Amino acid sequence: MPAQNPVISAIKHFWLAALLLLSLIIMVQPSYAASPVLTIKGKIANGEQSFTLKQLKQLPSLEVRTETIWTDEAHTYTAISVKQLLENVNAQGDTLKLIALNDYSVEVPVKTLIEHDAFIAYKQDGKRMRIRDKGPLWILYPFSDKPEINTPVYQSHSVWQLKSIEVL
Amino acid sequence: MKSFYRFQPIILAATLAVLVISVAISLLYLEQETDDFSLFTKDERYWNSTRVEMELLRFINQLDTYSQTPDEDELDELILRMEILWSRVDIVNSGSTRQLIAAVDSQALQHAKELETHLLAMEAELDDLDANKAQQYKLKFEGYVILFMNSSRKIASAISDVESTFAIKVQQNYRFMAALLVTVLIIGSIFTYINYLEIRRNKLLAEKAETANQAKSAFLSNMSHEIRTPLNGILGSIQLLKLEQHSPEVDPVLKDIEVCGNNLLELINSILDLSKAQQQKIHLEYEAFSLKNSIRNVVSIVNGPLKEKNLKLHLSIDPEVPSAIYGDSFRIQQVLINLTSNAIKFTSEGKIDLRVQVMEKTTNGEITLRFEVQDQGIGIAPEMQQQIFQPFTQADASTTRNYGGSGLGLALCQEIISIMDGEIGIQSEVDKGSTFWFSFTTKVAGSEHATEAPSSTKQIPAPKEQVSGSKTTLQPKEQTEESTQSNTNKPTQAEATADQAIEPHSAAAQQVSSAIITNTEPSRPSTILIVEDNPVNAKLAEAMIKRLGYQSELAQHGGIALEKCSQHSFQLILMDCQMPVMDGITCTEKLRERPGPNQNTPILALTANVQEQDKQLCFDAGMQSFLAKPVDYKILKQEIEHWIT
Repeated sequence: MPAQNPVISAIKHFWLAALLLLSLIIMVQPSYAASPVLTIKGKIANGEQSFTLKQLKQLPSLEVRTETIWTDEAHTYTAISVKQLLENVNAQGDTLKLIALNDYSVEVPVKTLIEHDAFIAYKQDGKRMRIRDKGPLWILYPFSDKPEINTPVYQSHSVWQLKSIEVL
Repeated sequence: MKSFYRFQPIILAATLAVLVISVAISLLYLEQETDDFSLFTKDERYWNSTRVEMELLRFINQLDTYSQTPDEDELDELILRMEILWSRVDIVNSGSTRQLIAAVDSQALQHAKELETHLLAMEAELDDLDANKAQQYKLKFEGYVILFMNSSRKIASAISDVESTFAIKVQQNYRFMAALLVTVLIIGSIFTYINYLEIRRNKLLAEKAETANQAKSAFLSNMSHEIRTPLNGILGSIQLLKLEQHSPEVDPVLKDIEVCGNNLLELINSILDLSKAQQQKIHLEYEAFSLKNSIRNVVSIVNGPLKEKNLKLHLSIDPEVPSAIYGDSFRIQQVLINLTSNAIKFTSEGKIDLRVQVMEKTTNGEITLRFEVQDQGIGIAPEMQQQIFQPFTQADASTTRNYGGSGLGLALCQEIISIMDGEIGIQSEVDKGSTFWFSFTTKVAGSEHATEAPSSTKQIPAPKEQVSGSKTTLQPKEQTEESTQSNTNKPTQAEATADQAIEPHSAAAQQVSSAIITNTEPSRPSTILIVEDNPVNAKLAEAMIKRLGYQSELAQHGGIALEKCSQHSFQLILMDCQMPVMDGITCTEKLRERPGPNQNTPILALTANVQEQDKQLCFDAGMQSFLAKPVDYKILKQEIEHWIT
């Protein structure tokens, strides 16, 4: 068996390395861009499901304009309704535990959220919300449309910097 | 003090109003307080205001970690902590939390601004943040921990301060309101109590007035009895005297005495009627009667005075007036006689018009009639026209002297018409004459229901007409013939017939009366028992009965009468009611209840007790008829002839 041509061998190695690097880039790059922003756990179809912002944006969206006690003026939020999201993951529980980036959490009955049209906002006035702007996800009620629920109990459900949801 | 009582309700009402307004203001104040209080307690402002401190510490902690291991992972974690801290600073800087902090600790807002500036600066350097720089930032940010800690404490103590003050204020407010409400209650109770006293006082006064009124009617009824008894003697004696042989010079004197006696009787009757009317004790009959007959009766009664003063009476009856209506013919006649007599009294020459008009006739048989009596007399000044319907009032004090009269007639008319739910009034002009009118609504009766106008003794025991015997005596018997004539249609014709009718009437009446006087009754051997305690009246009754041709026996009281009745059979018993030993009522009851020769003998009450209830007592005891004293000779004759056949 003749000895391998070192040039050919070098070229082969180069290609292999390039291929490897490419596959690395391909593998790493998407995973960085599409890191999940929301994880849903508990009583749902798959046991646990994560969503990237892109995946959330693909779900039917709605636009709500409302004021909140934490903002100085009304903003238009692009959002997905809580009802829609729960149907999407086939959630079976009665209560949601909403958990924020700073580990703040609150438990809210599903019925209450759905009854008052709670939504998960991902854009404020058409712009992506930074963490400092209470993003990337913020659960809100349409407070301007329903002033009667603009009370501390419902305000406490409005978790900003939403990280994950546990269906109980 | 008197004015205090007068303004008392106003003062109480005003006080209550002030108190209620105070309560309202107090509530408004409380609401205001609640609003202020909610600045601190509404939503999670306090919680939010303290979160900066917490996230600052976590951020500083991560800066420290990063300065020891400055790799990618720790940097990511640091960026996350920075973002979260940033969001917290943003919360403090906006919305309702900013409101709270601005009110309590505006310095904290300044610190938040500074913190944001430092965060911006650090963000710009994130790409080449090394351990040293991280340490520097750590020191810089650490300075703010204490500031935000102080700020949190300040806000917390401010809130607790507000809470405790608010609690005290609410408590005070509630106490104040409770006090106000208690005052409202007390004043309301006083108000009610005063009202209660007032009502009780009024009730007592009303009871007193009622008692006084009853005393008055008892007095009237007693007086009427006491006056009627001697009057009976006087009038009866005159009638007897007239029957005796006497010189012609005495005639006018006897006539004068009789007229005076009759006037006195009429006065007593008026007083009794008025008193009954005012006590609402007049019970009106509701029977079908012929209005035209009633008017004819009236005409015949006023005919005498009319002739004396040489006045003419024109009668005009609306052809629409039905032949019979429902009502109390006696009372309607009484009113018409009163008004017509008045017209005659105050007219010296000319004529008097009596008109009956149909004002309204409905399909369901209701009819409104208007009666007018117009004279050409002295008239009445406008200012007096309302007063004349008051009792004992005449248009002019001097007219009492000139024209006589008690002033009771119109008052009585008004009472009667008002009981009939009618109206009475007057139109008058001084020196031109007056028109008195009255109207009332009643029902039309079928002509077959019309009874004779009550004028004779046939209707015993229909008692009413017997009371004022002096009036009914003048009523002629032969009315039915003319009533058909006056039913003809045109008013002028009716007027003429009525005028003609007057003449023969009075003549007939005079003939009748003279016939009675001159006629010596044939002797009839019937025995009548007279039960009477008053010797004059007893003698009078005996004389009248003797004159009528009957025999009589006298019993001084019921006891004697019972004894006599057990021995002999009588054909008729004349029974006085008030007597010593045994009264007429008891005597009658005893006679009726035990078998004897006189158990079914007719008994005629002959009494001066002329009130409705007295009459009823007589009939209840078992009497057949009732004659009021003073007894009229002619009526007594009719009665006796009715019962002894």
